[in-house]
Amino acid sequence: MKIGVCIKEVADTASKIELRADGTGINESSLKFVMNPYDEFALEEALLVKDKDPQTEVVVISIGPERIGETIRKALAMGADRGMHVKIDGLPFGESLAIAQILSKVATQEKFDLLMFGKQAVDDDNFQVPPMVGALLNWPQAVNVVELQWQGNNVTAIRETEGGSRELVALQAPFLIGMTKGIHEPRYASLKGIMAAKKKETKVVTPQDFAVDVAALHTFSQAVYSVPTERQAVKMIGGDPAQAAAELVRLLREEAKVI
Amino acid sequence: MQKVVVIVETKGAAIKKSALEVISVAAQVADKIQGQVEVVVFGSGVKSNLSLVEEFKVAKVHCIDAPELANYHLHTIAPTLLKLLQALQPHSILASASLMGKDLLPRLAAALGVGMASDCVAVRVDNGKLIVKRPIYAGKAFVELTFAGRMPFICTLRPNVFPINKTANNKPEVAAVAWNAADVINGGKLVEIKAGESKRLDLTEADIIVSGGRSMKNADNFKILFDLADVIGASVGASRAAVDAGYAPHSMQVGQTGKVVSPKLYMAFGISGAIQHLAGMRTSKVIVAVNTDPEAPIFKKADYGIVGDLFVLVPEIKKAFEKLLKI
Repeated sequence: MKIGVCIKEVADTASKIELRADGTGINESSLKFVMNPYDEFALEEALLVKDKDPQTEVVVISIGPERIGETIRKALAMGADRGMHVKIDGLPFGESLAIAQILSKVATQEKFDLLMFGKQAVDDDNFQVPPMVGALLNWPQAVNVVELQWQGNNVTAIRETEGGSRELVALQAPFLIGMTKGIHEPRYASLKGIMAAKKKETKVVTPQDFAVDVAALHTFSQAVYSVPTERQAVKMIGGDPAQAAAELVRLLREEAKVI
Repeated sequence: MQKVVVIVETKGAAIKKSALEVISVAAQVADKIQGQVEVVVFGSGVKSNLSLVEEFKVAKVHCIDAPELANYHLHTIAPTLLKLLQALQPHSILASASLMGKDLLPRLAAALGVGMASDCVAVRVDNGKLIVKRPIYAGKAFVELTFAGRMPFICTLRPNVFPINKTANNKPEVAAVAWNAADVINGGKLVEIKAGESKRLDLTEADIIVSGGRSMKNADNFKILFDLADVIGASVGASRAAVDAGYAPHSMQVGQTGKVVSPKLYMAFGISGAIQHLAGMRTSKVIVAVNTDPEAPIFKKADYGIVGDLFVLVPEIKKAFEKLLKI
């Protein structure tokens, strides 16, 4: 089986987010970059398939500037067989359609049996790319998946839905999956894996190699960034527990007006 | 006349509250562009449940009613919706950024050849174009996006952010849209639904949430939060630390890798306020924090705070609410 795992390099969630002086975007110089946490779960599921059947080929694909090479190497160190880096500089937030077009072309060229994604990237929080790729390829999909139960090349995907409910969706290859936090913890790259990664191939390509005109696919003509206004300082409520509780409830009713 | 189309989400044949928020926004957009709102309602038995729509300025309802549509499933409904939308040629398409919205709208958008904006918290119209504001980096920043010009403009709206404005008393035209068993996406099938135990509103749609952290000490202790929640009609959440320790299931987790919520009241008990937790609840209208540690980071983000033992304070707060609400 040939599995494509789509990964994204994102800013570490603990990063302090600051605007660039001209408000045209986020100041990247102070950011630390990591593999999108949900993509790690997707990669882990693919590697588990490879653990069971070593004939499986796991290819990681990532789209972005020069620096994402490091995240691709990390995926190779975890056990992916080879990488593909589609080089793009400065793609604005929210242009998921262009990303989806590129990935669908890659999937067709590589003849993947399935595509694994993290459900959303924790920088743009868009939650768009996997279903968009599904539409472009006309493949069945399951997003917000916590567990995969394999039957040969087909799978029953277990999705977490509202109110703690679970859905079981049967998918026949080729299909795509958007993982949320799954039941398997992503593995650490072993020293052996890190050494082996140095010999693995990462092909560097551009959107033009897939006949994708990113500029023509732009959805938005302008993006203006801002940071949230801070709340007023907290009002601490003192007194013994009964007094504090009574005062809190009074404030919630009379001042905040939420009860 | 330009159409602002709303994909209405239903649950058990009834229209969801979050859909009414979207219809309210759609009505405002339609006003600005001198267009009209048309809604698409699908499910099983929905055609007799359309009366709620009459309280909004909706010109037309497209109703897809079939027993096979009783439970939302993308592969079953997407092709029919796509055909309908291609025929309607909307100015814009709006839906709730619920799990259904996240699953379905990007699929429809790409099939229609356009992009979209997800989880928007503000919508306005300027010169006929849609401009939306949405959170990024888990709400640490916002981006205001102007749609470039290719219609339809598609966006999903964060639940619990937009008010419901009932402005009309109105009988919209209702058109039945046929659903055919042949119009499905092959290779994907809903096999089984295992209903969750929660009788309460899902966290992402709850108006009031009470949440417990690692200080809850065990799963049984969460009962005191459920009891409090019952008094004020809240849903119950948990921090990642509590979930990782096994005190609550992942479906209750609020935060970066859990659910993002925006209730009007969020009460955090024994939660320190890690950045990843804040990411999940920072857009709550009012935040209350109770913690034994006066230095807990959550106090920096809360509106009201009490330093104290949650095991003493939760029952006291419950009593105080009962007295206020005369229960």
